[in-house]
Amino acid sequence: MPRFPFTEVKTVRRWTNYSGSLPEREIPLFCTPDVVGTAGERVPRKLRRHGDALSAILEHCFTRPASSLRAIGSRWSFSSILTPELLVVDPANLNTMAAVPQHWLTPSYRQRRPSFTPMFVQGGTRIASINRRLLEKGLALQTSGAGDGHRLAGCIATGTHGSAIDLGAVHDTLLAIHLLVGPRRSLLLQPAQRVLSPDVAGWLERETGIPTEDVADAELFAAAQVGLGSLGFVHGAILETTPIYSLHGRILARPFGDADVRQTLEDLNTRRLHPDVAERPFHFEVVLHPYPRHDRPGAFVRMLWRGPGDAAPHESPLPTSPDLASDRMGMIAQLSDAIDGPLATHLLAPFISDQLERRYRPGALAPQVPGMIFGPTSLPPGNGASTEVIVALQHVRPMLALLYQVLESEAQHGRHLLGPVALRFVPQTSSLLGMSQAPLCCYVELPSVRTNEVLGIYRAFWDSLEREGIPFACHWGQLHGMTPSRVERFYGQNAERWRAARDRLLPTPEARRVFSSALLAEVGLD
Amino acid sequence: MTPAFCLSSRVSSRAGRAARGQRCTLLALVAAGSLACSHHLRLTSPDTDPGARYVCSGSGECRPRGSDVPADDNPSGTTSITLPRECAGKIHQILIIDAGSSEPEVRVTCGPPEEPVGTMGEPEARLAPGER
Repeated sequence: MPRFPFTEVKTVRRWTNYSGSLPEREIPLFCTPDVVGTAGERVPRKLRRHGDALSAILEHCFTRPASSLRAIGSRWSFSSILTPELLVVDPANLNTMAAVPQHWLTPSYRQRRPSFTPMFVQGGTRIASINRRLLEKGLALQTSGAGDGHRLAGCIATGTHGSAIDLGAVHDTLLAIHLLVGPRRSLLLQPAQRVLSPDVAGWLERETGIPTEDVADAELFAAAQVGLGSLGFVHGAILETTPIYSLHGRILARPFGDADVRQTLEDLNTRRLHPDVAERPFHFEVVLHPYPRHDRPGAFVRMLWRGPGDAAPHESPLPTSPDLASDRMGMIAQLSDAIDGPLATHLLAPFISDQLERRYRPGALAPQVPGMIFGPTSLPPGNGASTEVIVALQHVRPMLALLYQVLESEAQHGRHLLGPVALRFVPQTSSLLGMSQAPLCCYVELPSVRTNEVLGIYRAFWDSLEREGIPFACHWGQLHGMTPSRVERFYGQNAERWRAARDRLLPTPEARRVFSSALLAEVGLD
Repeated sequence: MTPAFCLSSRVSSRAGRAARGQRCTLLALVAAGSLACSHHLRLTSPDTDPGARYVCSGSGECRPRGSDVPADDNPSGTTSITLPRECAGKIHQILIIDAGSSEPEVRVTCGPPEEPVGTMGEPEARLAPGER
């Protein structure tokens, strides 16, 4: 077994992702840099230890012969973007955060965004940790996903988003990305209109010991914003953080076909849902019942407005426990596959109503800091499934009509989605492969217990969208129906531009091999 | 990600004449799952993130864990306990009284914080060895 400086190397006999959607497999080389006890005394500083470890690991991958390196985050992803081969790097200890000094920012940026604080965050840092540590400094992320379990590198690699309707996804708040593209080569990528002086790249080079080029290039930056883990090792990124704020809001519970909700889903003019509040909400999401009943609410709206940071207690969430044992969830999945018949919908619908009404109680939501609202998940590990389909706002109506046709048709055969239909909204991204390619996009997510029936429903939905000519993409980190032709259709020239950027960042076949993944091959981006 | 539903109460939702047989099967299986399981304790420290994983035995030996399947760590019969936030993740000792019962008591002794040895006149917080 090879040895790398300051790194614990072990073989993991059985490994899978959080949801268990990837088949269990062995990982011959599971590398965790900077575990306590591997450092010893008289060791270099933390980032230098990380630099030494990662350089040696990359050297190994590039030379014997080029073997794939997968950095695993929190393993939230359902898709093959995570699928490891021989070697995995667990970046759990790569969690340094450091504010960029004002005098390392360009004058134009300081003038344009005086209240924002650019923050270097290592790729292994979890969103929960970022939230906690920013809170101590009176700062916050501008947006995050619905939960806080992701590590930063995985979060941006997959295009993770919230529902900040005028802001964008997490990768849209990046100012720079530090990519390791070879054993002794790294790049600090930033947009052509640079925000950071060359001092930042110099600091990274001094701290990590890895030569670092300062590159201001719009195309490379746009590619790396959503890099699918295949443009190099994301050692860290510079995020634009904002002074701490609170979020307060309200939940509405309406009938499934409520005209105001329906209209708002199509034009995102939310005012009709909050006639007493002039300001547009910061966050807007709608959760629908998959098998709506006439006698109970079927559309739940959550709206959040930003308020001052001191309006909410400055606290962090406590750990949560899974709602259910994983083995019991697996048993339910098996039984659900086995139980068929037309009665099933009538039996399942009230249960789903109970769950939705309990989770989305109508009324006011007291102010909380964002880390409290978008906190830990109680979703049990194993037996999970989810897909998320993205369409432009003008396609929301036909997309929903198709989805409910599919749900109804499958239900008639006793095949059911065991979860809600959740809709969130994100404006256009500047990244090449971010899913929000239209001025405003709707993300419809179908989380569920994983059964064969549910996987069939997902496929039927994707296929029906294609059949009806509705352009769509799927979330890179979730179960997806993307094929090379669907990628070309949705992303158009951006797919080719992303491949070209990859060739520039990783100019040799060996380099591309090291950072390849099963996902790239599936969707024709390799 | 929006959470899926956890179907803990789904057993009763399957009631009805046509589904009665299936419901009984489900009840029996769930009950069997409940009865067959032993007690496990999950102790979680607030304000910390998951890092490297180990498995320790009664002999006092700890070794890197050679298996990493998240669902394995969430078996039936698990009681979850949140450790004191006041320890700031630094624990000296945990004693579990009646670990095999359904109402265990967890006695926690925090470890005091220890900063690395500094030098008079130099700033304290740098990315120095020992800092974690």
